[in-house]
This record gives sequence, C-alpha cells and structure tokens, in this order.
Amino acid sequence: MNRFENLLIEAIPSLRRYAWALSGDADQADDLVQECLARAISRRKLWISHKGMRPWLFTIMHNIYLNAARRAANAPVVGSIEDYGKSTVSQSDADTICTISDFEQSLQQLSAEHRETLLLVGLEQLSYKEASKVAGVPVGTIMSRLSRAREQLRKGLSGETQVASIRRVK
Amino acid sequence: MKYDKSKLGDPEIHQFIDGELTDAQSRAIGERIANDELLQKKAHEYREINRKLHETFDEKLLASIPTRLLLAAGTRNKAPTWSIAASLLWLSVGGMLGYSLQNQFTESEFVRPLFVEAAFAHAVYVPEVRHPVEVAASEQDHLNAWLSKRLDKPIVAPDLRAEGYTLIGGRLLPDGHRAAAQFMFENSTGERMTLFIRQAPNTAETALLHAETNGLGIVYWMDNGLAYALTAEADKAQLTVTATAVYKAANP
Repeated sequence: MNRFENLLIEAIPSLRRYAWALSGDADQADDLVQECLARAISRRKLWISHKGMRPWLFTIMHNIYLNAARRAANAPVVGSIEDYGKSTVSQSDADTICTISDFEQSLQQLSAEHRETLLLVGLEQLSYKEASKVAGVPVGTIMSRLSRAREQLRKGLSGETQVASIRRVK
Repeated sequence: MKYDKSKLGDPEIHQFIDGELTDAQSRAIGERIANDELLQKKAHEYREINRKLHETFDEKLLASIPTRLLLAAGTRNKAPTWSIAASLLWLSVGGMLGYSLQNQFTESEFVRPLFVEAAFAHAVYVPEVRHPVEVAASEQDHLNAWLSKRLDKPIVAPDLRAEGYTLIGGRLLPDGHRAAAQFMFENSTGERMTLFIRQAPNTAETALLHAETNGLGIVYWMDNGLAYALTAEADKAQLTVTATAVYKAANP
C-alpha cells in the first residue's frame, strides 16, 4: 500500500467527524465521506503532498457539500441530495440513545458557510489560511464568518434564543 | 447580557483563541483579556463552543470505519463494482472480516469501536482469580518495555495510587489484526479497573468520551497516537477523575 492510500485511510475518522458535524446527520455524513473518497481517488494526481491530506479532502468536501447546499437553496423543488445541510434525525443507530442537543440544533441553524468555517477552525484546527483555501475565500472572510458563527452560537447557548431539545430513545 | 463594543466580536480574541498570533502578540492580547471581565467572559464562551464541538463529535474518531468507506478508499481497484463484489466474496469465503480486509487495507482501523473492545477485554479478565494478568506489577519495567515494543509506541502503566488504585499488572491482547495492551488495577475493596490501549492515527486528540454497557462504565479518548479506554463498574464522574489522572501521566 502506498503513501497516498495510507494517508487517505488515516484521514477517514477525521473526515467522518467533520462530515457529521457539517451535515448534522451521521448516515448522510458517511455518504458524503464516500463521495469525497471516490473523488479523491479519481483526482489523486492533483494531490500536492506537502500541503497535507486533510485540507485537500476538506476542499473536496467543500465542493460536494456546499454546492449541494447552494443548489438546494436555489432550487424550488426538493429532491434527495438537496437535503444536505438540514438537521434530520436518522433512524439507524438502533442500539443507542441519542439526544439531539440544543448545541447541535444551534449549529445546524448556522448557514452552511458559517458552519463550515467554524468547524474547520474550531474542530479540525486548520489555520485561517488553510481554511481560506478550503472555502475558496480570503482570510478576512474566514475571520468575519468565524466571528459571526461564534457570536450566533454564543447567543443561542446563553439562552437568548431557546430551542427545545428532541430526545430519541430506542 | 451586553457587550458594549463590536457586536461581531473582537477579531483579536478569535485570533488569540485559534493560535493565529505570534507569541508576543498573544501575550499582549492575553493580558488585555485577563484585565477585562467582558472580554474574559467572551473568550471563555468562544472556547466553550470549541469544547462542545469536540465533546459532541469526537466519538466518530474512535468508532470503527464502515466497510464501504474502506472499500471506497482502496485505490487499486480499477473496476469498483467488480472489486467490491470480489471483496464481498472474499468475506463470505474467508468468514473473517478483519483477516480478509487486512490483505487489502493493512493500515486500516478495521476493528471494533474502542469502548466495545475494552469492555469485552475487561469482562473476560477482571473475574480471573489466579491469572488476571500476564505479567505482574512486580515486573513492571519488563511489562512496559514489552507492551511498548509490541504496540510500537511508548506505553507506561500509569501510577494511580493517588486515585486509590494499585497496579496488578498487564497483558497483550489481540485487537483486529493488531496488538493492544491492557493494564489492570485494584482498589482497597478489591474493585478492579482496566486501562485498554490501542494504536490510533496520530492526527488528532479527542475529548474524554463516555459509554456504558452491561453495568460497566467506560471513559475513552485519543491522545498522541494512542487510543485509551478506562473501564470499571463506576459512574462517569468517578471514571473521569481517574481518566484525567491517566491523561496527565501521559502528558507530564
């Protein structure tokens, strides 16, 4: 097994975490990850090794997820892929008790762009510069998105807007 | 609550939290924040958001990877449909999922979720009266050296006497197609606790995560290329205290 494959497999757990947080749905997240891995393999010649595997994969994920979210926003008719970005509760984690917390709901209420920026920096610990490459926007835009996202979440969490929590028990 | 200025948040607070400043800048901003109650509160709340992100989503880092994703990452398969079919055939013939995938994905993490494996190992060895461990605490140096060699990472049995637990010893365990380690501890009333350790990708740290199964509590996390699971018949709060001691022992 070569280096590209090793790095790709090693990045899967992190990619799954990111896709889950981005889409708000663990099952849908794995579909995103699968699509992302398939595209990574078909474009492996475009991979620049010194820039690292994760930022590159996040860039591919950006193209998959945000384009789908954008299409959904523009299209009046709802199909299947358009559901990316909504907070839906999946039915498959059969043996677990799963709580959709206020925090997760607030996170899903952010715009896709704001959520992406917050996750790249706050969860995946990319630098502002790396995040700006992933999202294809200037560093200044990353900074303003980040501060808006955190400010909106902070307000939500400090009770300025109350969201009821959904408890799902199986 | 109100923040007088800059409703969107002072950009420097974000840069400070996200490690985007030079040491000198960071010290200056750190001082400014320390001397301003409102800034302090804001910085705390922003950090709290990061913490919640990890607390909520880190469990995916430790979960086992679905086969379809491992197959999707197998780059040598020029004809995906055929190769998936071939792999599935392999699985049904071989029966041993882990074994057959090993051929294709030698570096994969195709193993059971950490807390499941740790709980199994705990349940099997803790009731043992005569042979709870393979190497006793009296040979601790040898135990550490042996496990470090087999896991290819420095492994040291943590000293948990301050938490009331004395080391009994440890053992090597199979974990998918790799080796894992288990240390066993006992308190003064004879209650046993195990620490399960497996190799992990060296890409991330996680928060302390909690799971419960069959009356066992497990606190698990990933740190510095290793994944840990501390298991005992104890609640989350008790386990978290001891897990923190384990974490600190590994990060002095």
